[in-house]
Amino acid sequence: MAEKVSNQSLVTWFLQRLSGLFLAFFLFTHINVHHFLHREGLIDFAVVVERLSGSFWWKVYYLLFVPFCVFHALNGIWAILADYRPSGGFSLTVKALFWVIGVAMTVVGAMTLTNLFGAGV
Amino acid sequence: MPTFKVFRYNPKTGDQAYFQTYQLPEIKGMTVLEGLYYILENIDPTLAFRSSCRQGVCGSCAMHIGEKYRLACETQIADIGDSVSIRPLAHMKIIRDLVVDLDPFFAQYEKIKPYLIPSGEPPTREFKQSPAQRAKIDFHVDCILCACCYGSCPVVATDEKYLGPHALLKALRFVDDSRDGATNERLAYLASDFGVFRCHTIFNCQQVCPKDLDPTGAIGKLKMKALWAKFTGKLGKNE
Ligand code: FES
Repeated sequence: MAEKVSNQSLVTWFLQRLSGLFLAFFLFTHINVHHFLHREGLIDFAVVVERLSGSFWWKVYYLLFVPFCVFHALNGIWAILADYRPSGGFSLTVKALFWVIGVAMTVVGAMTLTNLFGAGV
Repeated sequence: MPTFKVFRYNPKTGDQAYFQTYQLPEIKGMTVLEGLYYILENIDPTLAFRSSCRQGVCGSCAMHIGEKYRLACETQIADIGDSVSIRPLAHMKIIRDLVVDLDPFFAQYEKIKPYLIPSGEPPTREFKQSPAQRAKIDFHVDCILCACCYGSCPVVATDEKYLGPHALLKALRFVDDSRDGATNERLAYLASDFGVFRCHTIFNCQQVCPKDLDPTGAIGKLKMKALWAKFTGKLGKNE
């Protein structure tokens, strides 16, 4: 116990489980509400837009869904890379890249959703 | 008639590694270790392997036998079929044939400080421990440090800094010991980037343990203890 160590993997491990739980909830509700419980004909673009623009909670739900998905995916890839004990420079580059990708994907996702919210039918 | 295909390699000669086939007589109750001794004494005196107690206590005869890491002295030839391949433990440098360099294995073990660290002055007579407190660590003290779990762990394969299932199983033994006073410092170290959170819960270690111990479960418990210590602000300084 003489070495100076970081507990970062404790935090990322915990957040991975937490985001996994949220995703399980998101996927369960998404698939059930939008596919299995949908009884009024085909699910087309108009139906999706109507649902998204009709309810405040669906908007919140999907705006949260995107960052949780992105975080879970990138953190999972990082956990795999960490198994190979990358060097300091490499891991810093990858982490920076993942932050950029993560923020970009979340922003693009949020923009797409807000466009749909306002699209109307 | 049992056939052993034994991994042969001598880094000093610079020759490629290969498998050598040996035919053994059929003897009822013969163990793989006895088979290796039969080869050494009657067929090929150059074969190198480790053993000591011949009764599953010292852990020195661990190797890959058939499809699993096992103790050669506790494995009956009759139980594993007529033709069996025998290889050294993985993830460690081969010294010769079935003998590997266990230094990294024991270096990781030493890192968890495998001894009691009392919180204050040690008592003048003995540490008192109730049967219930002792029972908590009964399970983990049975580990004989044979390295079967270490050889089977894929995380050890890719990350040489990972403490390994053996060290983490033993660590729980000290964390759970009522006489130990360094629980939070231990947890801080075990929760580090080369500790319990690197384990992917693959269960290989649990599957191969010749003593039927549960390193995967021990690592799981340590994860929960470390998380709890973190959230309650008790995770000790890890320097
Ligand atoms: S020789 Fe001691 S455990 Fe096999």
